Amino acid sequence: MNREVIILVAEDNEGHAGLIRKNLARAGIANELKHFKDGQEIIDFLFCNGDGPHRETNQAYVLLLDIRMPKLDGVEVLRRIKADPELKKIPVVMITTTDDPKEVQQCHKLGCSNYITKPVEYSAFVNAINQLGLFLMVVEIPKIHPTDP
Amino acid sequence: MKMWKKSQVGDTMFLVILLLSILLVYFQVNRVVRYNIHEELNQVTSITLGSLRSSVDLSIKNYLRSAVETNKSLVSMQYEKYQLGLLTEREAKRQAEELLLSQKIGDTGYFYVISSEGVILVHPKSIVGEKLDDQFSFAKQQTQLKKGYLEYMWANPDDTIERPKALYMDYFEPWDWILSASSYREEFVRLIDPEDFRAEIENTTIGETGYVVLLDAAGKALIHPSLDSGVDLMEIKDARGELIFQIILEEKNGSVNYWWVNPGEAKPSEKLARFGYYPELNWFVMSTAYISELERGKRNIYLYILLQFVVIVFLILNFRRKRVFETKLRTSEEKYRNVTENSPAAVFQFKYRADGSPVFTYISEAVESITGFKSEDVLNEARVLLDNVYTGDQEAFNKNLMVSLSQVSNFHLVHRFCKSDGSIIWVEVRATAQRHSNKEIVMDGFFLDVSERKNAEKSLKEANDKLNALFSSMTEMVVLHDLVFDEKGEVVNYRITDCNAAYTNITGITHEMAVGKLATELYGTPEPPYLKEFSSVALSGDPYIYETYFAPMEKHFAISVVSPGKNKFATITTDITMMKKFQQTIEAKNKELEQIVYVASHDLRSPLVNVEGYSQELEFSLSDLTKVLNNPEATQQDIKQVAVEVLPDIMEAINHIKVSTHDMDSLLKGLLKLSRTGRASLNIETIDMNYLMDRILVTLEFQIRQLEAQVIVTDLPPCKGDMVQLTQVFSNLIGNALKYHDPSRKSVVKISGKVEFDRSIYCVEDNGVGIAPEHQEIIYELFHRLNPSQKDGEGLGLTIVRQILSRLDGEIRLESEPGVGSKFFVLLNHAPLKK
Repeated sequence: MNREVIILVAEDNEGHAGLIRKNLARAGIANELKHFKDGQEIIDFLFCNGDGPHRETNQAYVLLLDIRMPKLDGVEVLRRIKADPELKKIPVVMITTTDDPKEVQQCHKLGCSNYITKPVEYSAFVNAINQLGLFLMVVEIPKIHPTDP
Repeated sequence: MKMWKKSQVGDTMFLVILLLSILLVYFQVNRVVRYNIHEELNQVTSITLGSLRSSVDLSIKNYLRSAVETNKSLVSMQYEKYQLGLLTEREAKRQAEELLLSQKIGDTGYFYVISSEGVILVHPKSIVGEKLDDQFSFAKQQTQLKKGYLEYMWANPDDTIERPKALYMDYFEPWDWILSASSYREEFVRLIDPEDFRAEIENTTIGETGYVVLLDAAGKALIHPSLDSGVDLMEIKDARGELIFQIILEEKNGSVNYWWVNPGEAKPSEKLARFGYYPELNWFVMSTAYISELERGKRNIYLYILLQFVVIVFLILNFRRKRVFETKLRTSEEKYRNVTENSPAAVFQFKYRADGSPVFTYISEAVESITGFKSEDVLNEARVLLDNVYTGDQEAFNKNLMVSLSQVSNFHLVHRFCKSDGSIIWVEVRATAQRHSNKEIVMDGFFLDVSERKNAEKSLKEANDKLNALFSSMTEMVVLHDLVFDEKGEVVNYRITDCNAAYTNITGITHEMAVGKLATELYGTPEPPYLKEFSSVALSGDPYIYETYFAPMEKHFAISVVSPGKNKFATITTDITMMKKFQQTIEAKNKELEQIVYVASHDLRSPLVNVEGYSQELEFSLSDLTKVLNNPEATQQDIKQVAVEVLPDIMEAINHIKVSTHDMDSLLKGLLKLSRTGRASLNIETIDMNYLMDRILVTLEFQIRQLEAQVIVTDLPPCKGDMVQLTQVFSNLIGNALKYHDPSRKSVVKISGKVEFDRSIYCVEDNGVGIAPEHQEIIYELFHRLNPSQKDGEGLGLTIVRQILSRLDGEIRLESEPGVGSKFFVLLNHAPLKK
């Protein structure tokens, strides 16, 4: 387990964010977790814009990204991250309420690492989070360097 | 040899001959007066003989001429049939040839046709295709003159001696046919009726009791002042027992003295008879008078002869103008009659009598097959035909007839006629009016049934009319074109040959402006539009269909290109702007529906995930609690510790479940509201926007006062819309302008309006937080809220605004800059206020 990795959660729904946090903990993933309430916030953090918190250099991140969010939606956030030569190294896991195949395909095309549907069936959700835990354990997460200006 | 170039010239020549005859008579009379009684009788005889000769000449010429003219009109009818497409030219000619060759002129005469080059085209005896031998002088004259009368000496191939032959010809130009009829003169003798000379002969007196006798070679009286015709004169003896007429028949020409007892006198007086022979007719003329009377009346001879001459002139004129024509028709030989009678045309002669009553002086049998009326009936009563001219055509018929008669001009009319059985046919009448010497105007002509042709024309016209009506009433623009090639045979352009009313209505280009123009001229483009596609249609005949948007007119068109013929094409253009608009509306509706489905799947599932998830969390907490409670070894302390640990989780879970159910409820309420707005019935009317805005501002007064905002409203133009719905639109927009104000400055909201073309455009402008460019589209999305945490609201406002405007044929646009403010523009159809 790569202990240094920080898990970024971009999720507008507090409840969903809480569930994700709880289940990650229950799966034994104790990494630091940062929560962002919309697409704009996570973009500002990663691209070091605005007054809010900014990412740190030489830090490894994993992004759990909700699709439907105010201001900027997850797909747009994914597009911008993957367009950046440095940021595109960040593994992005899409977490969404629908399994619309068109949307799944679009996210894979843009380069997301994984795609998890938030199931109403809770055991399935737990299962998905466990999978995410496994994913985090087997993948070597690269460190992110400063983006070239 | 005599000849006339034309019939009119013929008349002139005739008068010249008469004039010469007058001189001759004058001369002769003088001589008679100067010389002796022998000479006086001589003159009477020879003048009578001369008059016989000129009558024969005239009747031959007229006979041949009418035969040729009738046949020429038959040939011309054949030609017309060919022109109308009823026959091929070859067949038309063949039938005409057959007709000509079937006729005889006299016993051995015939019709023939040569070309203006002298090539024999139709001939019963000579070889067709050969050139008529130039050594015959008449051949040269025929090709030079083409029309008129000729006489020449001729021996038919089976004859040995040359005999005088008469020829009449006329020229039918369309086929280069010199139509000729020729026969030996002697064969026309039968045309001459001695009765024609009765008046002349009976009116001729010599002295007081002298007279002229006409007798035939058998010695039978043809005309005798006191004896019936047919009386045998051979046995008549004079007072001395001489058989005078036998002497005449033997000597043929000469004179004889004889003695005769006048009625009422006791002893015979001496008479002198002068006689002559006219070989062509084989007739003898004898004039006789008492010598005593002649001597006595010597001084009066001049007067008598003059009188006689006047009678001759009268007779000849009469003969020529009336009798000859009638004689020709009544007594002409069978063949000629057959032609007239077998012709599909009814040949007629028509005039008005002196009492004003109409009469057909001749009508051929064909009248019965055409009209159903018998020729006898028509000859008896001309009105049988005249009164059955179709009522609707009577006026035109009478007018034409009057014009033709009064101007002595040609008559040509195609009109309807009621047959004897009541059915209606179309007939074509052609006639020529001629003024005869007695001032009578006579019409010669023919008519024929042209119903078939007329009906064909009619159905053609009807079909044409139908197509024309369709063409001009079509709402599609139809334009016909011809390709234009360069000298290398490459298609370089195309020319407009026709266009319909729709084309003019839609483009504003009139028929006159378009037709005949090249595409580059008409459309003002360097290259003809779609030349490649159009030429491929015109050359291959394969249709081509495409759609195009014409920006200057803001219209969408569907264009079908078809080829009605080689190197031609037609464009049929349909305005599909409305269709496209519907399509766009449907697309927008579909998008909206898709979005609702998307929202339903995302946003409605989102609270469910929480309910499910936190219920499970509750279970975990409860199971922790249960575990410790069920453990007999657990102390009160242990139980308390677990309870303290799980209680916040339980509280959190319950809170999430409550919030989620509330969220779900508001989402469902929102959907219901949206659906209700979409279904609300609209009451479209002209809206006084100033009044509407005043009412909105009254309801927002509290909010405005609380924010200490400044609201500026300028004069607003009216528009077409629904009062209730528009109130909602502007309440929302103004409410948003106030809600998303920038707390760092005083809120100012400006509401203005203007009219552009047919649109009223309103602007709600604020100096609030503004909207970033990337957010300017998603703000209209269902349940979308830019800052869910900051402001209360359900994320429905702009979605509903857009939905309402779309139902009112309106639009919403946004201009905004973050940190500066937003301008929402609302576009609606302009409508003037009713006063």
